Amino acid sequence: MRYFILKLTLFFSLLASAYLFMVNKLSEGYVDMYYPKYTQHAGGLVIGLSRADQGIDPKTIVENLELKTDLPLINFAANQYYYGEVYLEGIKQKLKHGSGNGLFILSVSPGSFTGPIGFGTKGIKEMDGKTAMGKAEDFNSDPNYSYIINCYGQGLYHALFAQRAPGNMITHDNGWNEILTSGSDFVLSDALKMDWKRQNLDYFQRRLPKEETKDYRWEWFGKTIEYLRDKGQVVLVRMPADKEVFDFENSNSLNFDRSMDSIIKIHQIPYLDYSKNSSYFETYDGSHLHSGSAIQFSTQLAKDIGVHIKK
Amino acid sequence: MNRPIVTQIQGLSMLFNSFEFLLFFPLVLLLYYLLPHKVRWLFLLASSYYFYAASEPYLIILLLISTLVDYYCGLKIGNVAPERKKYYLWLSIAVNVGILVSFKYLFFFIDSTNSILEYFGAEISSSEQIQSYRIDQVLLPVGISFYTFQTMSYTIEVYRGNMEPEKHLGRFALFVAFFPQLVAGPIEKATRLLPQLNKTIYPDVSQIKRGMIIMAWGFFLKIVVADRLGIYVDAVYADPNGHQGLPSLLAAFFFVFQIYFDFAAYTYIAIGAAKTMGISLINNFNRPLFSVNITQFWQRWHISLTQWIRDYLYSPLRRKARLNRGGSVVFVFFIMGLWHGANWTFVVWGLINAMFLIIEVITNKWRKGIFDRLHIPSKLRSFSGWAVSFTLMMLSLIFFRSPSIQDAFDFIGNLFVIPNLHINVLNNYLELFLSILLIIGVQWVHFVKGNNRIYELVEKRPIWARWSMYLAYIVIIVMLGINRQESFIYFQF
Repeated sequence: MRYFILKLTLFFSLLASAYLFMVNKLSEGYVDMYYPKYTQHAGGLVIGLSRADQGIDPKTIVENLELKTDLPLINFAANQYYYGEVYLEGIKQKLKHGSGNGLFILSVSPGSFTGPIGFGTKGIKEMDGKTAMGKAEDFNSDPNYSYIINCYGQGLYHALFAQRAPGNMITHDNGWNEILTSGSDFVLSDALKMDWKRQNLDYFQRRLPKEETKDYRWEWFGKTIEYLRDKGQVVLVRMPADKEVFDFENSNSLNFDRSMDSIIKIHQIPYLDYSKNSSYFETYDGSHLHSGSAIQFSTQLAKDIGVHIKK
Repeated sequence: MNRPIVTQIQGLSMLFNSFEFLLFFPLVLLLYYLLPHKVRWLFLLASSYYFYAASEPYLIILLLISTLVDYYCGLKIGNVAPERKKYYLWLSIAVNVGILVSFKYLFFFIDSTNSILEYFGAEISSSEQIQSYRIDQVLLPVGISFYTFQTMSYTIEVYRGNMEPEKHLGRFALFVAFFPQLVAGPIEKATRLLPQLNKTIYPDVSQIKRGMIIMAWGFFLKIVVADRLGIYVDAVYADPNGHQGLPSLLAAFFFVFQIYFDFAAYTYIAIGAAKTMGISLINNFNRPLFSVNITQFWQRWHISLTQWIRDYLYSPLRRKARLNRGGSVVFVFFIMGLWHGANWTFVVWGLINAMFLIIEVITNKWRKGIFDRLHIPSKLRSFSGWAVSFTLMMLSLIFFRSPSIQDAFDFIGNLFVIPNLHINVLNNYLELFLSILLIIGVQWVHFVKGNNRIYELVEKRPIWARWSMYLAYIVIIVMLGINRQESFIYFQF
């Protein structure tokens, strides 16, 4: 029996060592497009869904902002990071303790406040809990082994290959995911962009009967604003997108503007709505800004923020 | 009016594929063998309750109610006059079915009734809608379908005179709550499991080794194979109308293996864990995906449930209620579908399988006649039988996986859109290739060793070969394992 226990101990020691070795190996290279969002404390945050993830470059914001705010400004937005308890808990852990002069850019769209039809509070929380934000236990370490153990959803064999972001994406250390429209081996043609836009609109149409606006999301959006107001300046932004996308959103979310008006009045914070001059910033799929337009937009956003917030 | 769909959220116990379990299990095993036999039941019971209550402690109340009622009913059935025994049997059934209905089906029935009323023009008021929205505040207790069926088997067996009532409340509670099989089976009969819990068990290294090999195979199936297949399946099922043709077909194909490997993985870990403690659990599978007809499939798939249904539902329906064979099959498959979940998709899945079985039996002689006349060799008959059964099972499982019947029909409709050959939904050919390779590998092992002799892969080999296999296992688990932290599919039932 003693010999057997010894063998078991050897087996499990080997297993644990191999696992930790591979986790460390992976952390030395590219992990995934969300990993840099979890590797440092933040002084300010960009918050929202994929439009903010790809459309707001923190570096450009800081360079063009005529204000001094707590740094670093981190893009903490991602696909599936809807407003809710899970997101707010993540934000709390992400921020440096004691910082009181942060900049918080909260991106909004009707989609930010939706959830599957029939899901109540528990259902939404469970759904949010399955995202990296919900699974993460450590938001600020570099290397972040905990992120890899809890949130990395692929085989660790990827660590053996020279990893990089998908072909047309650059994942920046500040959390921004930059989408390129051309590279050494690809060019996003206008025809392809049109096709992606068509696919996106088709997808929105298919999701429409399955999604609905959730009071839960509005409630936690309010709580998020409330929490962040104590930490610095909060700015709400409706990101630019193509006219067809806004037409779809506006025709299917009739109360969105009214709800935003009431949020602005309650919290007395600026709301920069770029849906009115939507054609000014180019997207690659109708919804998301590409590299050049994201920088152009971030520059404009920084200037507009400077005009609106208290100096 | 757009009425909300009811969604209940399941409570969770400790997951086998969690780091907590990797600490919990060795500790339990060690202490189990260090403790004297007299107190082992108490230790195992406490461990089982801890395992169950790890994340939602109050759900244990239902387990305790079920345990106490069945213990009491069992004792009463053993003591009272024969004509009064049935009252206690019905009390046991009423309480267990009552718990099941209240926590798993009540809202489903309300929702379905609302649908029917709406269909006939009734208006459901907004306050009633709000009530529906609150439904998912009530947790679906994990494993409720498994342990209620297991405890009912006890009172039924005592009632039938096949066993004496268990007088030791603690041991009976352990029979209900034994942690390896508590939340997703196998559903053990009291006549099999209870005597084993009373036995003095001495440490047997060869049995512990076998148990651990079986568990290791289960972990491999879950984190390397089933969860990997799940990524593709989830991507396609999340947007069924966004995929057509081959991607949909591949997702349907993968789901057959995902659900099998996922459930088999849980069963392997349960059987292996119990074996390390000297307790033998029933085998739940016998190479089901090699079945050459639907009847055979149902004799080889989730054996503990089908035996339960056969012994306690189908046979009484045939013998006592004198229901004909077809009617009995439809009824038990309706129940079996409903057992899997409070959604019409499961009911439709069950009824489709009943239909397959009935058609298979009715056409049996006719098909045999055609095969004989055409002089088709038996191997070709078996192969065609396997191909047809597999395809039918794959189609029926689309209902099992889809969130609604409409989604299932959309999915099936999309299967027949031929032009789309783009199977690389995840933009990762390597993973796709790996998934197919793993399916072939696992099925090869199951073909050669069956579901109950997996430990023979390692046993009786020279030490260098064994350690090579252990090292290969480590490499595969570390490199290919996917930590999605997904619970087992059958936890929701």
